[in-house]
Amino acid sequence: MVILLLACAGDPAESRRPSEDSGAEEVAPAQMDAERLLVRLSLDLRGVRPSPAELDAVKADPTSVDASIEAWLADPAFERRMMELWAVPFRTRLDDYPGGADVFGASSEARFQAAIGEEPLRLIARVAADDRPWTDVVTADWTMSDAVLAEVWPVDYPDGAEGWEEVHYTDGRPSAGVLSTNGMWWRYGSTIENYNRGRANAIARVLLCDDFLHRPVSFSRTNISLESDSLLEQTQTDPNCTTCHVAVDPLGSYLFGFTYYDTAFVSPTYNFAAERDWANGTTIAPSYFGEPGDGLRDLGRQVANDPRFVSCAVETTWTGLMARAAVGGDFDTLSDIRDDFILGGLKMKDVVRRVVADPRYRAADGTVADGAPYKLVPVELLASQVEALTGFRWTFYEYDMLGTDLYGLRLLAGGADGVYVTTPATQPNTTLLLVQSRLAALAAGYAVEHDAERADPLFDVVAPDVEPTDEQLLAQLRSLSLRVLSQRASDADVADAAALWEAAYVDSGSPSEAWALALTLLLRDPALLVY
Amino acid sequence: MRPSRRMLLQGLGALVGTTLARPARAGTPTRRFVFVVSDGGWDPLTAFAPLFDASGVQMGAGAEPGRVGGIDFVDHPDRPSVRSFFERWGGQAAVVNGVSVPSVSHDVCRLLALTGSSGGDRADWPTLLGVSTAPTTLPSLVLSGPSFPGPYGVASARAGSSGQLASLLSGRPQDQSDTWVGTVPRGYDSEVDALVATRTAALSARLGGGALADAFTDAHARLQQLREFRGVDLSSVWDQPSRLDLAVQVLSAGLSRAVTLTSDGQYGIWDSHTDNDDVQGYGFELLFSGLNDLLEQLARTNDPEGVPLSESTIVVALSEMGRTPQYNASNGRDHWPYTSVLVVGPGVAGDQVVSGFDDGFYGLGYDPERGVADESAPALSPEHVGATLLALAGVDPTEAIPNAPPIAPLLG
Repeated sequence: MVILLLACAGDPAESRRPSEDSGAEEVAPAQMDAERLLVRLSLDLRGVRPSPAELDAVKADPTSVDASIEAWLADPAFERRMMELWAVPFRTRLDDYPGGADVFGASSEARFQAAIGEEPLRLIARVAADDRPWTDVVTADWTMSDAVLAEVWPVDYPDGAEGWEEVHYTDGRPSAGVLSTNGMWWRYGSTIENYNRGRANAIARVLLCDDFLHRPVSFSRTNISLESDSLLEQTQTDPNCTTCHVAVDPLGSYLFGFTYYDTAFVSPTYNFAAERDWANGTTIAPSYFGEPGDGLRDLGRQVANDPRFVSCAVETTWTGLMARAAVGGDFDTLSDIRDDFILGGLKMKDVVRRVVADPRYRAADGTVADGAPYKLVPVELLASQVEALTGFRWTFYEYDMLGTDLYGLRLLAGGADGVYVTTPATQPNTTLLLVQSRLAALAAGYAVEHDAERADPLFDVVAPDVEPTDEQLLAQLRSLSLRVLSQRASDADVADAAALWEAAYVDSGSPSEAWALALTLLLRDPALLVY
Repeated sequence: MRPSRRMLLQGLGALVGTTLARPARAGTPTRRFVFVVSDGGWDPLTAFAPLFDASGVQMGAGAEPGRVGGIDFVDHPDRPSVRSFFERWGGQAAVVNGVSVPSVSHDVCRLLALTGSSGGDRADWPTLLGVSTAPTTLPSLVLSGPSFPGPYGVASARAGSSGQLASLLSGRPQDQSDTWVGTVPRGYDSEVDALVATRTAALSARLGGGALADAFTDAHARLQQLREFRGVDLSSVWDQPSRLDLAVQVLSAGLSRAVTLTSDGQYGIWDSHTDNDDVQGYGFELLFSGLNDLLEQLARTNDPEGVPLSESTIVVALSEMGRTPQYNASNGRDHWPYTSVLVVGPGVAGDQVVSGFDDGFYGLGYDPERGVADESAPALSPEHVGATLLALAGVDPTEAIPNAPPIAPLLG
């Protein structure tokens, strides 16, 4: 399959390559220093900031950054980062799926809602983290489930387990990786009359980076009959319609086994009886861009064989790590990465390695064409880095406050809900800073309260409930700054924080309250939001 | 020596409030906007497009042609608020029919209807209007529904689907945490804000200026203003009446220039693939009832200068797409790439319907500059609508929307 993919012609990326003879002069790019690069890599690959020891090590030996990359690609947190990266195009992390826990007997509404959309993302992340062939994304005979999802999904979740586990559907559905998951098709439903066309486009958009809906369409008044019986025929014969429908409709015909039309029909069990309902609808048999198939397993194989599938994986990873869409000059690089991806056995970590080694990823400033010298921390990284620093994860009635919208703050903090807002913010706004300020206060209070329980206490100079000497106060503030912001604090910043600490201590008589305030200040530093 | 608390407070006081920029543009008329989005795709044939004689169109049962002044509409005994709306407000209301949104995808049509482009890189009309007129704390506030702030992310804010913005501002986040968080320091907001301002300036310098640096500076300054904002309960976003009421309060308090909210529809649904007449009929009655209330409330509520909001506020009702001219097998109507827009308020040349649909329910070709039907011209687009709204706000639309002139007949 690898050889087949490499031999395939017609890679869409080729057509987007700029002219070889662009006349542009090569300019030595200004690259980040090792410490700054380490912060970016640490957040991108494992969702937390580097420790002071890690910063010291890379400062002493800048070449050690490569070893850090390898270590962090092997870190369990990398799997979560892959999930978060792929959550953007998948748009499955809703928190108001119809039905709800009470309808299906799940023990937690918040956890059930969160788990539905995470299912396909967890599968993708597992493939990436375990260095399995990327084609497993659409061919695997397993999926992922946690304990709450397993209360509803027909899966062989192990007794006594709690977290996310590899499982198999037990209802006999065909195996096709994410294409077989309830999570995918509960997110992308279909009305009876739309014949899974929206679902077909979700496959094209997410897995092939080829959104039918962005194709130019002519809705000319002169060439479409309004007789409803002939409309279906015209979608397959009129050139204005066939642009999309000749591919979309047969693709949708693969998906009739997922009966998630609306809440009245929702079912977690695959519906074998409906698999061939296309015969009563469009009457168009399943096929993949002209290649006939029979069932989801064929669909998975066909997607895996499509050169766009591999190119799209590379482009999506590039976009996620660069925090911007690929532009003209990027496509040469993407093409090279794609070729190596194939030759290396389709291991996603190889793609990640290439992206984070690219001069544009490591650009120090705006002198690097199409570089990304500063990125806004997405809400997921705001949550994970603060949790790592303080131990605090903001939840309310089990809802992840920075990961949901119905009651949570994801949108206000610049995240995407996948429906009304489909791309994360690239600039801060007022509500992001407001969320940060409240999160900072909560996390600081929690950190002070629970620091003694931590294996690596944040307060490593003096315990937070003990009145410090002047020297201890200043040393602790410097240490906290390095831990929280990955930067060595200026004397002025330390003096400001010390004054704030003292003011709170004089007022309250409580060193804990004073430390909570000082830590709040650090967690509200805008530098926490840029990397 | 550590600085004393007095030194700290004296030093920091000078910093607060120094970073707000973006002065009001001289000569810009005061215009405010309320966008009411019927998300899911409304059916113009239920309210705006009385195509009873069109060969390719099936009208709904019980519907009749209606006319109030210069506005032809679809009348129905179950939707009295539609008629009463045009009777009461028709003089300053205009219907734009036959607006082309060349897609049948909700996602793409939302982008098209609100930004004029499917690219995703443009700001939506509320954000553009918010940043193009006089400065406010939150230029574009989204109470519910889609938002695409594009390059002006710092100017757009969301209230949250259950009033989260209000909860954040209440200052007691520990009340919304499952975990006991120990001591949350209180009473030092101004001191911490001032120190954060210092750190923001330092970050801005490190970033070397530019859009990101400016956004941090701008957002921090706006946050200080927002913290001081009082008098409006921003938590009331649960249903259409509360959102409409909140929109008026927000404008009255001067918090925002543009407010976006969704109309409820039947069970929150406008996407009427099944039982179109029930869904759309209910939705339009609720929508127009709400618009009647909204305009009444704007008339009796003053802006910060003491002038009734009705003298400055333009209400725009829109939906990302229309519905097919014929019913499907479930008595529903499917997605259709032509829709309508309703604009009402000061400066709008009302009492008219602009452009229209042909017998097949396609948008008519229309010349927006001459204001006449023109078979050789394309149908009106959302860009024409956006340019018109900018023009109504006194903003030259050619920079933001260079390829689509305003719809001249709408400019009073």
